[in-house]
Amino acid sequence: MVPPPPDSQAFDLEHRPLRGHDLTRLRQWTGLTIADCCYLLGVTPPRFHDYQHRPDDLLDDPAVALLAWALLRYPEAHYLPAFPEPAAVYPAYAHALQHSGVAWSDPDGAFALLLGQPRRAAERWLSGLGSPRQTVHPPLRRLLLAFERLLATRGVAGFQAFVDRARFEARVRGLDLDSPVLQTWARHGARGRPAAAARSGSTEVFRRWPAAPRRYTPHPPVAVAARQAVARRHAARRRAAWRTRGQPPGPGG
Amino acid sequence: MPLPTAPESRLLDLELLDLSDRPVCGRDVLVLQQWFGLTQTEMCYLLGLSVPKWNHYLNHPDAPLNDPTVALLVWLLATCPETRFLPRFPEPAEVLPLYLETARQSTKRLGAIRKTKLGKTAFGLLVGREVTSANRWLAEHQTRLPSPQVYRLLFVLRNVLWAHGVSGFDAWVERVELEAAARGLTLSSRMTSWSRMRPGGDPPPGRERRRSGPAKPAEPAPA
Repeated sequence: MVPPPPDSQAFDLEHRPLRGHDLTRLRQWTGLTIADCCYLLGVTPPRFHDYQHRPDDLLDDPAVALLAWALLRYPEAHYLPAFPEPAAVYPAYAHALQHSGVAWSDPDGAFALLLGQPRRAAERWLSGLGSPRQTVHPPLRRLLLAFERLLATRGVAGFQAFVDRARFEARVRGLDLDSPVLQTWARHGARGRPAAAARSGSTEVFRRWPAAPRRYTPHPPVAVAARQAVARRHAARRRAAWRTRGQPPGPGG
Repeated sequence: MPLPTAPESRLLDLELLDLSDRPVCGRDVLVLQQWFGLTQTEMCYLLGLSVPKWNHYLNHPDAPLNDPTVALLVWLLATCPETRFLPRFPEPAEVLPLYLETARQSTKRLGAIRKTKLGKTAFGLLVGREVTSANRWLAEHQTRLPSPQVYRLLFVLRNVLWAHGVSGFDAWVERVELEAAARGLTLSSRMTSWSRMRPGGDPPPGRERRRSGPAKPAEPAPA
């Protein structure tokens, strides 16, 4: 990720040390999220917030100060990868799809589903009216880069392997990736019998989403007759106690 | 300017991360972190996770990841080395020769009085650490690895020296002098650390100078 050189007048770093507010400027200039900026500088989020909350103080770690200065002074030294937009990856996907044995009636929607996103997201991505880069799901931005590299290095074979893996992950969640009515990977579709599979008439046995491991041992079910016997015994004890004390039972029983 | 290269592909323990017939689970994220040798912040960046999301995966090690995008990303990173996009930061031993070669051609010296040449001793100071750090990093059995900040700084320093040579080196030294001066320090052969000297050169309060020999008895005052 190589942003355009910053305005040297705006930063004016030549004759003064770096301070906390310079990290905020670095983040704004690079257009990074706080998490990404933390990776850029090798600091933890609490440390980064600490710097931001003391904008006029010197940075306590000279290595961070030198690093931020060098990144501002030498934009070509940046080392973060540039994550592609979905529309930039789509041509490679379409090419691989065309030469593979995969047949989807809605290639655009399948593109989004293949990347774990709702089918309708593709419409937004490919319309040219995409949302700002920062609002794209961060894991998706990384997956797009990895997927692009996969297609570039392994071609159709890599694409086929990725499709098989996505189908497998969908099947584990009770979804059919090839179903034309599948709209999303959201979990609500996997709690009962998947609506998509039901509508498509699929007879495949649904495998439920595995339950999270319990931290406690649930009480085993108690038979109704046993519960009633215990309640009768408690009632008999209460009546015996009232008789002993000579008090009648109150309005509460 | 060289581009970042992918991390070294160490052999993955396939018994630990065999994803051929099971979905990606929470524990696989942890295995991937240990395999790549990344910090939590770096791992969150790699997968685009927030810290709560990361903790959720760690707390549910046997559950399939609830985000299919992350699951597919983990699978790609684990099975296809060419898809790993994090830069590989150089070790100090990889940058030191280039640094020494450039320092030899530079007119910059360590301090204005004694004019010591910038060598291996100053290497630690020029990346924001102590004089002795370089020896620790370059030891055969590294006791302490450089911090994540230093790894990144080494990457940038190497690229600046490659791209700008002596002029880049001189600018770097001038920057270190400026940052040191702002902290009340002077980049000289007497500077050993960025933290031990207080502004103004006063010794830290409550600390006495260690003597090498036994203390001499005070001489009686002349009558």
